[in-house]
Amino acid sequence: MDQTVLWILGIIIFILLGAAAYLYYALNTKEETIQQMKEAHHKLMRSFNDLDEQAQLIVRTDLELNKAREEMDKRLNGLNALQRTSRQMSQALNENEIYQKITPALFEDLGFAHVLIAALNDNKVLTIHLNLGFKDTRAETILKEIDVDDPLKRALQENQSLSSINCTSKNKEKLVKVFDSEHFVISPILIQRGSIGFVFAGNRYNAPAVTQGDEELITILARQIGQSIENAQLFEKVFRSSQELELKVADRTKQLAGALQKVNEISKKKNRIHLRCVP
Amino acid sequence: MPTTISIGFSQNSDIQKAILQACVQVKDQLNTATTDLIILFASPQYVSPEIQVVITRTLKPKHLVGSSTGGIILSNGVTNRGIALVGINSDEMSFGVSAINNIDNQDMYRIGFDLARRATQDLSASRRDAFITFSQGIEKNNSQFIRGVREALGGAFPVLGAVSSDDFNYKKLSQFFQDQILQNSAVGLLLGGTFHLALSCRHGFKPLGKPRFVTQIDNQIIRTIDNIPAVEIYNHFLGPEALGSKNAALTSYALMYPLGFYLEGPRQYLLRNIIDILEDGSIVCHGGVPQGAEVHLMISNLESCLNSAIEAAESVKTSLGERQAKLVLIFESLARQKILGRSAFNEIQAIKNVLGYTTPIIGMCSWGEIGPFGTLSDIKNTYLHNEHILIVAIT
Repeated sequence: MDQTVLWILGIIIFILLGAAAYLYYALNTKEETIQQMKEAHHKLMRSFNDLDEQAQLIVRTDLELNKAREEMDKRLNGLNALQRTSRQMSQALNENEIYQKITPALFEDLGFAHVLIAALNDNKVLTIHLNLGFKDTRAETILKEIDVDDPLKRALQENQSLSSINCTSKNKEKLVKVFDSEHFVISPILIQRGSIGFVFAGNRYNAPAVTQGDEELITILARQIGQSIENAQLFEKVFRSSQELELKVADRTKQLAGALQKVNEISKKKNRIHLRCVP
Repeated sequence: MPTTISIGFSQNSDIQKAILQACVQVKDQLNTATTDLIILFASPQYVSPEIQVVITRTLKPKHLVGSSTGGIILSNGVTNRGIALVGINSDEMSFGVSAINNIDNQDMYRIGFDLARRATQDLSASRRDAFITFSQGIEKNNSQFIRGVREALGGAFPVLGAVSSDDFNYKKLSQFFQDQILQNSAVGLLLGGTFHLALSCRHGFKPLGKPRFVTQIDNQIIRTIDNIPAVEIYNHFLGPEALGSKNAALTSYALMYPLGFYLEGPRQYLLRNIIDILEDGSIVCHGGVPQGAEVHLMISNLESCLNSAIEAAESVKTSLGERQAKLVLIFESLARQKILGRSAFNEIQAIKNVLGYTTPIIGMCSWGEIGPFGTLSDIKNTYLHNEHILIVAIT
């Protein structure tokens, strides 16, 4: 009986030992599997993070390319619009007609919501030729504010364009305050004898900043206006000269016709005398 | 009388002259006293009460719907300024129109249901084929809106549409309904009769980076992604550009990199543009987003955009079979125009290459496109998308 119990106990102990050994083995295997899975997870996470870093590089490069392409598209669109306007302006025969050719659509294409074009009239007073986005009273006030601010007036009369990205902080502050536009380009209208006005194009505070491309486009427009005005003035001068010349020619022709008539009359008289004298 | 379709367009700087020119072009081709349907697209500069006065006087439309848009799509390209309208006279097609005004803060399910029901009441034909909506304000709860429309028209009824757009300012959005110009409204057009409809909706964006998960949302606002403020996903990828989070540039560049939410059902990415970033770093999306979804930043380029348009056109062509489209309507994301830039013209050319050079094309660039993932066979999975192109052909 005792031996049987001992056998049973022995078997149980053996089974328990076996089970313990198996559990120990299973635990070890599990630990290993967990370790392997952890390593795999770690690798996967590292790959994911690498992928993310790569994606970051891709996005940043793509962003730069997109910015460059957008700027290029903007310039090309602006130049197209400018070319159309320039062609129209070059056909204008007087100053007013030139300003009429500058349409709001041009500035929409250039991406500006606030535009003011002003030039000196015959009495040397700045007058508005195009106003977009400003109330009429506000536009008049802007001109008055510029008129009383000599340093600003001088800055606007210089040959260079001023913009929110290139002018001194003092001038920028003044111009932002006067025109109520954080992003702007202001370019002088130049003719041979100097500046006769300006083209202002700007946007309020929530708009994107102006670029060098914007600055170039507004400068080209201002130069084109100046050139067209000069051409129109020259045309008018030539037209007047030719009219004066034609008047002079007509007058001289009239004088010559009169003289010819007199000569003819004298000739006729001479002939008559000659006929009477001939026997 | 068979179906006659005519398109008019003008860019005249004088609004009255512009609309008159467009109307005359339509009238010349239709050559009838009245017009069954007018669909009108106008850039924000041309949204004025005069336009409907001139249209009513000239074309005498029985039904008129339309929307403001930041880009008018025509056979010869995309333009951001002008007024375009398509006039349809048909014995084969019938139309029902409806509108619900001031839908802000209203129950979108109810709005969708009522809009569809009213359009049904206006439709004379017994057969209904598709519902097209132009709207502003449904974005917040668009799934409820679509569910409402479907409740009235049927579970697998084609619901299509576009969210009104403007010149990227998100301020001058309008909808046209008969002789009214509406804001914050939904306008519906129910098409019925005996005609064939083919459509396809694609995007061409690919997911980038490791998967992240939306952890907290509030309607269309994503509060956190992976338990950190949602804006960090843009900060991480775009870098310092994103740090001045309230500026327009971010919104502008972010338009090129929408968020893509993986949907397990249709196994597709639902794209969402971001329209604002809040002080706490939450992102306001242009449309509702699913809680807990896997989210990626999405990327595309000119080529993939063009390819997606070609794929969409080819799907439409396959659906049409031997039939020739009488009219092709295109609703395309305004944001895609930023990616396409000056190549937008090439996209239309590519579509024409597939669908035929003589097919009249008209459409609008929108802030959201309502359609299925893919074609009419996937119509059950209809969503409000961003950054998609939806091509609808009517034969």
